[in-house]
Amino acid sequence: MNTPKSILVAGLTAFVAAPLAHAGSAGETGTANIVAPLNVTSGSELDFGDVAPDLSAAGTVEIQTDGTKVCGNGITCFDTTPATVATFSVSGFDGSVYNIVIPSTIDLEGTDTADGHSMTATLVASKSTGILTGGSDSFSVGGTLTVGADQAPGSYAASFLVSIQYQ
Amino acid sequence: MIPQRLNTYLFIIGAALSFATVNTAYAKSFQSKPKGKVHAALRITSLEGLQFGTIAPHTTLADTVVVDASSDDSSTCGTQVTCLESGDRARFRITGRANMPINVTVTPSITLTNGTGGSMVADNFVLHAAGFGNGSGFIQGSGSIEVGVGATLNIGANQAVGAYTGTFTVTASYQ
Repeated sequence: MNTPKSILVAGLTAFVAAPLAHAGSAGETGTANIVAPLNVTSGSELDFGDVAPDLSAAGTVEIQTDGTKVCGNGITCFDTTPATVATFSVSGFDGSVYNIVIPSTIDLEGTDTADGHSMTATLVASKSTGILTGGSDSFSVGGTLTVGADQAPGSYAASFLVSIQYQ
Repeated sequence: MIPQRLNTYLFIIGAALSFATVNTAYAKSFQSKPKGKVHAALRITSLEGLQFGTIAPHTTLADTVVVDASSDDSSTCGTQVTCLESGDRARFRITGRANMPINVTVTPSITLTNGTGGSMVADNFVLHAAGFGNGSGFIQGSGSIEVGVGATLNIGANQAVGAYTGTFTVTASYQ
């Protein structure tokens, strides 16, 4: 009986040494926050589709968070490449609330034939906070792309960081 | 039975491990990559203006000169007027995204004036291009298409002498 107890105590002592400096007090942290890991995965990417600009006036392509596309002010949106909204799935602790943070504007930089040119887009999320009902939730990100008058033809791309955190 | 002191140690271990988990799970970030593709704006370039030619009117009867939209230097002169030279269609080049359908419209009628009070009306403007029908067609695989424009000039009886000019507009849009 005595031998197993001795081994167990020795092992425990080694484990405790490092975390104590971080936690500060064993008594305070004992009951704390064990939550399911917060995780986010991406579905579709935000795609403004194929568009043609007006020759003399800037226009916009709006991808609403429900996927609705609105082309304005002389912009032609080709239906051959449907636009898509960015979608995200979040998992974590059941019932907890999390915040969604995205940049308000981004620049899409031209590649291939549009190298050296850019367009600006404003971004909008379907919500600023979410509730992990049943441990999961989802949200989408749309945006409004401003296409310049006679915008240089070519492919444009950008990247932005979507951050989520528990409240 | 495990002594009380050992229970305390176990409790400490649980707390320390859970702290590590909370710190990594508190927030997450994800890189998103939006994109879009811009195609050429539609452009219309005038290649050649519409010419009705040199015409002598009838002293008492009105008539017309009809310029053919489908071929160069082709016009039909009414029997009451004398055409001293043939009319010629206008030509435009429209450039844009290859193989995309477009609509093209032209002013239905205009007034030509000679600057000294004389005027004539040109109407029945007609568009012609390969594969076009009712003002609708496709940008060709080359990324452009050429469009011819013809019209009918209405010459009055004893129409005032002079050089008459006017302006008409061709408009193109993606469908």
